[in-house]
Amino acid sequence: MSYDNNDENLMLKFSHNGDISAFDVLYMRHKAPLFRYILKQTRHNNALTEELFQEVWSNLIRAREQYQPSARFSTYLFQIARNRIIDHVRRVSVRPVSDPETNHEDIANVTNDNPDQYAHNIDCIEQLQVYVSKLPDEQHETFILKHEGDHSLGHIAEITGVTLETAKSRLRYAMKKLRALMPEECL
Amino acid sequence: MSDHSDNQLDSDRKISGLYRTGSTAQPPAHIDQAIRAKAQQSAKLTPQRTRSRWAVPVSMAAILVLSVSLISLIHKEAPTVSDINDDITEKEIAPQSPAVTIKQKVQKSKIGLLNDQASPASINESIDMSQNDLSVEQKQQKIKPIKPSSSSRNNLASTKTEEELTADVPMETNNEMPQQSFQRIIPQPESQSSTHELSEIAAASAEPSTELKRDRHSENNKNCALLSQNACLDSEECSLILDEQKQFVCKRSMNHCDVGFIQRSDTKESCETKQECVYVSEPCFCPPDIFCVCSGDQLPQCRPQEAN
Repeated sequence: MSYDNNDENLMLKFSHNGDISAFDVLYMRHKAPLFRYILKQTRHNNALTEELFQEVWSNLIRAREQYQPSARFSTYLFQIARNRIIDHVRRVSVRPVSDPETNHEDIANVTNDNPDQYAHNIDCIEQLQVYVSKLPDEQHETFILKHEGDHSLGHIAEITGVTLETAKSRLRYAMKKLRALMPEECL
Repeated sequence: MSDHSDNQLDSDRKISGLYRTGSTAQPPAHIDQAIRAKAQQSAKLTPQRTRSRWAVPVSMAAILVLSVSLISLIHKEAPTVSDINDDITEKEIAPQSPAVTIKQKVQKSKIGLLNDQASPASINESIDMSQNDLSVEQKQQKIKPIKPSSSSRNNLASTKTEEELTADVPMETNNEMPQQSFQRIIPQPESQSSTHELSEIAAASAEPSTELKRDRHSENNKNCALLSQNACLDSEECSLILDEQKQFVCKRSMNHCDVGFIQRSDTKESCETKQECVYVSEPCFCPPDIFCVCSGDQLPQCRPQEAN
C-alpha cells in the first residue's frame, strides 16, 4: 500500500475533495471487520448489526469534514462504531444477547466455500464462538478488536479508552479463559 | 517453563486461527449500495476546496490593496494647515460688505495701473464695476477718504476697511476732482491676519458721523502746532501745509474757506459750497503716513477765490 493510498489520505481525499473512489477503497477495506465487530458486540443480532453498521458509515460521511488525520482511520472508524453501540445499549438499557448456537451463518458459509479445509474444525469454531460470546464484556471487546479489526494493543487501548496495560491484561485473561474452555483436540 | 509458554503461544495461535476462519460475515449487498449511494450524494455537495482555499487569501489581499489606496487618496486630498488658514480667512472676509469686492477690484486696477501704466479709463471701468456692486444708499454716499486710526494704520499692511477701501478709490475717478497722480501703493494683505485683527480694524473704521467728528476736532485742535500731522489733516481749524523746506507744518486756518475744511475727507463740492471759495489740489500731494508714487505738492486746500 503506497503512502498516497493509506487510509488517512483516502479519507482526506473523500472528505475534502469529494473523491468517491477513495471512499470505495476505504469501504471495501473496512466493511467486513467493522460489520463483524458490530455483529459480535450485538451478540449476533443481525438486524441491529445492519442498523448500527449503516449508522456508523452515515456518521462518517456526514462528519467527514471534521476528520483530522491525527489518528489512524481504522481507530477513528471503530471509535464511532463503539460509541454507536454504547448509545444503543444505553437506549434499550438491556444488552442484546442472542443465542450463539443459532447464529452460525458465517460458519456455514465458510464450510460451504472450503469444505475440505475446514470440515474438521466446524465443531471447534462453533464452540469457540460460544465461548467468546460468553467472555466478560471488556475481554470480549478486546478480543473482537484484536481479531476482527486486526488492531494492535495500542490501538485497542485508544479505541476503548483504557491504558495499554489494561488492554494487554484484558486480552491475556480472554485468551487464558478460551484456552481453558476449548477442548484439547481443537488446540 | 519455556515449553509451557510455547504451548500457550501455539494454543493462542490456534484459537485466533479458528476464530478468524469462522468469522467471515459480510454486510448485505443492499447495505453496501445504500452506503455508497449516500457517500456519492454527499460527495456531490462537497465544495471544491481548491477554490475556497484561495478565496480567503485573495479576498484579504484585495481588501488590503483597497485600504492602502483609499488611505493614500485621503492623504493626498487632505487639506494642509495653510489651506485651512486660507479657508478661514476667506470665510471671515466673505460675509463683509461688497466693498471687499470693490477693494479687490480697485486693488487690481491700481496694481494694473502701476504695473502696466493702465489708462484712467480702465480705472474708471473698474470703479464702475465696483460701484455696481454697491447698494443704492452706498452709491449715494460720497466717496471720501477717512482719517485712518492709529490701529488701522498699524494694520495697513494687512487689510483695509470698507471706508478705507472707498477712500482708496482714486480721486481722479471723481469727475469733480482735478486730475492728479495720487496713487497709494497698497501692500498685499498678509495671509496670516487673524480674526482679532480684522475685528479691531472693523471697529476702528466705524467712524462717527461728520458732525460729531467736527465737534470733537473743534475741541481738540485749538492749538494747531501741537497737533500731529494726521490730527491736523482731520482738523477743521487747522491746515497742514508744506513749508519752503517741504516739511509739513500745521497752521491755524485763517479764512472762512479754510475754517471747517477737513483736508483728509472734504471734497471739492464741500469746499465750493461756501461763497467765493475754491478747491485747490495740486497733482502730486501725499498725505503723511501714506506711501505715494509722487509727493511734494501741497495737500488739498479750500482757499478764497481771490487768493487763487
